[in-house]
Amino acid sequence: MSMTTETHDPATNDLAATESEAAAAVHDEDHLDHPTPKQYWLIALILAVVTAIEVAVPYVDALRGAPSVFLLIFLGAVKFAMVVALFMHLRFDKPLYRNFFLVGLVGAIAMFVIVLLTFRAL
Amino acid sequence: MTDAALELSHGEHADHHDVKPLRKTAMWVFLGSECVFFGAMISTFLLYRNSTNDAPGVEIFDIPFTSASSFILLMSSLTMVLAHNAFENKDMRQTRIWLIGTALLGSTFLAGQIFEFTEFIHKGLTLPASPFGSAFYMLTGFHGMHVAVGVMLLAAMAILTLNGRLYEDRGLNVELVGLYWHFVDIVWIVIFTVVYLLQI
Amino acid sequence: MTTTAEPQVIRSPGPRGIWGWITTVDHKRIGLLYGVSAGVFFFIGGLEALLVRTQLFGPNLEVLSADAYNQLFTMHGLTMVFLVVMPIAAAFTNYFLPILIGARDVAFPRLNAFSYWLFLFSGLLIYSSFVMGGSPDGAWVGYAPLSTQLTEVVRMDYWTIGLQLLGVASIAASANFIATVFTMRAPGMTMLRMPVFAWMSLVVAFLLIFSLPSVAIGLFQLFLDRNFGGLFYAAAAGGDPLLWQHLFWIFGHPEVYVLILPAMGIVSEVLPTFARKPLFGYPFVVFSGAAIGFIGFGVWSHHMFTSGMGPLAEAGFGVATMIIAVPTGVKIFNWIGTIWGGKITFNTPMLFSVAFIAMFVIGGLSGVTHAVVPSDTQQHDTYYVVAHFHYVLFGGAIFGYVSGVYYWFPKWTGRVLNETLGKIHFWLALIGFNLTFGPMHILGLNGMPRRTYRYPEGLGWANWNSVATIGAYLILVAFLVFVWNIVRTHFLAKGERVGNDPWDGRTLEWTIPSPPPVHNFDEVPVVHALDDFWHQKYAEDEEGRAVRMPALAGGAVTVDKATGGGDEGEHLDIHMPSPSYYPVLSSLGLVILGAGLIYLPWGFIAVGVGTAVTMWGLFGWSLEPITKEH
Repeated sequence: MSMTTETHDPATNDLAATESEAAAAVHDEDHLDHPTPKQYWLIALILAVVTAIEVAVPYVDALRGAPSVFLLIFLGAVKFAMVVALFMHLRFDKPLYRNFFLVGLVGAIAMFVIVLLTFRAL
Repeated sequence: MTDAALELSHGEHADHHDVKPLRKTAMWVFLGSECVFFGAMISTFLLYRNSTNDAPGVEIFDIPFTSASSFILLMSSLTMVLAHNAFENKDMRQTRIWLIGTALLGSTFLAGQIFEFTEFIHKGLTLPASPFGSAFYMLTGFHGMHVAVGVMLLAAMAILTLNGRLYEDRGLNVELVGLYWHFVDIVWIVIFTVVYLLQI
Repeated sequence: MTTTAEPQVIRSPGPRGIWGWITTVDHKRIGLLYGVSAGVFFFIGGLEALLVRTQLFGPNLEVLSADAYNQLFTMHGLTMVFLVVMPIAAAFTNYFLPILIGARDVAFPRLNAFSYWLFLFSGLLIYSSFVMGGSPDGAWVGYAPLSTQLTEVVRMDYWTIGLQLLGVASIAASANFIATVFTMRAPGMTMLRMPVFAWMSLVVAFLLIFSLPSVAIGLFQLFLDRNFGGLFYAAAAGGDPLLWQHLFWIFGHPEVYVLILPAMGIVSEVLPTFARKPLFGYPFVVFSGAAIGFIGFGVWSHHMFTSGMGPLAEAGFGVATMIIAVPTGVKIFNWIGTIWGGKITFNTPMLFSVAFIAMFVIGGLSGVTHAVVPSDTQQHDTYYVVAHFHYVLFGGAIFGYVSGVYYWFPKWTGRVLNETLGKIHFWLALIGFNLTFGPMHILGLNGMPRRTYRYPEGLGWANWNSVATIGAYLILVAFLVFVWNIVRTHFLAKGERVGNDPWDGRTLEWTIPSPPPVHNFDEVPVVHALDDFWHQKYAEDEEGRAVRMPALAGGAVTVDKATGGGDEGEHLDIHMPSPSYYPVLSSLGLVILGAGLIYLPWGFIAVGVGTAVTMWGLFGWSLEPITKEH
């Protein structure tokens, strides 16, 4: 007995799923419990593009300083969220798992931001 | 309710019942705790970012090189998720191929790390050189160890796909190893941003 | 309990004797192993304390050298926190968590065994230091830079590696218990019908799993500083010893709630039983426990008020610490409300639970004075602190756990502990404890510092120190009475035999035999309410008084059963997990690995051997079926 009902249409096993499905499924959590392989490739492509942008940021003089910091953190967070939500399937899973993870993530960030603040290192 | 409830009460003892909720619950809470683990190391690094003494600091980083190895690790998450997908479709051969692919990408990442470290050591950035060096090697070293363990798990599972020994509630569950692998990847996303790219 | 047919319990013919205990995966046996181990370590930790107290009986005594003293007080603290109170809590949680939620075992029985063996072997590793050149001597908190010095001596490496291994055991156990509570509750056992003890075990599991990683990193960094030239805590080289304090206390503070919450859970079970009243304000007690756990992550720097963090940080942590007193106070009032107007039996378990409340309140009050930054600045590193934490940890936690032993002893053994001996134990313990630690408040405020092996004449400290030492010896006598009671009752079989439900209890453990069968419940119970068992036994009349329900044939009470996967009442095939030696093997491998790390560089051989053994254990474990066919 699985907690998520996984519907597997053999027709979508391979990479020849339609473009519209690929576009729809990434945003539509009601219909699909799993992204299809085609959608996984699409997600990977997006991640690669974001990485390329990130790598370019330190070389753009106009962004030096605070703007680059915020941009890099934002882009990193986007990649982080995509992998967690989609590759790790958290978006489609029980809220309990997401809550466990968030407690650790948010707790860690909060505690260590406080530590760094007491050192005046932040 | 009764059947579901009985499922709940059997847990791991029932071979023919689903152990996935138990294991997934444990894995996600463990991943939550790993956030604190890596968070502590990342903040130690941030604290010592400028404590470089006479040794090299962030200028030693080769961003293009590290970007390439980061990209490779990122793509290994794709191969991992394709392996899981193949496993769900009971295609052991495909599963094995993608698992090996993931392990190879992970190993390539590790090779890149080792190469990078030997370069840095030649240039004078060692663990005892400065707090920066200590923090850098601790963080990336632990991450690398996690990758290495992941590669071993992937290889073990790939072997188990032979002769059909990898079935759903058998020890090394593909999905669980996938979760671990993706986590190692997202930790690297944070490390890459905070250690290599950020200029504070 | 009436069942229409005997259930078939299918398990491999388990090994008998010692090998049976070594390969057990039964949560009840594992609980007993934890309990006995904790008891032995308690005795050893107590002896360490007695030696310390003897040295401090009078000024300028030479009973112990400074070096011996440092080792003894360090080991006393380490032992009591990590090898006594945590394992006692683990003992109770192991034994009762599955039963209280109507399950047959924990989520991962072999992982459960692994946690126990890792704890035991790690404790033995740390204690082996006594014969290997000296024990850890840098206080149980191991502050840098004291702990990073003297690297040619491996004492603090025993501490570093030992604590690291113990942490792994606890993390594994926590993941286990969390998975158990969230996936294995019996039908109808909603979260808010779980007994308070089960809730506290859950909160503790969260506290551990999210706090241990911080000290794990701190310890790894300490190890690198000591052995590989790391500069994490080296001030002269640009590092900062204060980083250690943060990483340690981010764990260390939640840790103290780990120590106390299970005891509070036990008290929440004992008081209703012997007041014959339900727990007053159950949801408040549960949510307060969760709140204490949550806020507990936000107060760690109150251990660092004198470290120069600056007024903003100090004020923030001071306020947070005061806030934590609120949910604690809520629990106290709820316990009082539970007893108030009840039909009270002052037997030994009840006495210890009531004393818990009183002693914990005293300790809590001194804790509140610590929350006030200026007063803490005077109290820090004095005996006032020693008084505070012994009141909450001994008068609080230990008394609570002892109450649990008296309460649940009949369930474990089928025999109830002797009441007369119990009361003697209680009064000796209460008096001895207060004689020992009460005066320390005064000593602390009069300036006596902690962790110093002797004090001079003429400072006015001698008399209270003598009183404290006498009290400590009284505690020893109390403990011996306790041990005698246990030996006499169970091992000499002189204790009075009892059945399932000697106390007319409220929760599920009293529905099964004493001691329980390996599979706990013949049929999985279906739960309809909080304190479901009580409601099976009693209805209420118009005035709300309990009216005993008519007993069923044979004098037994039927607990509503879930139907089996098939015919109602026919035998259920209950597959219990088979014993396994992989947990003990894996934990042994880890400890060998750890020992090798202590003795680098030639310890690399042991590191290799330990790694190989661990890998063998883990691979065997993951490939072995959970229930072996035969």
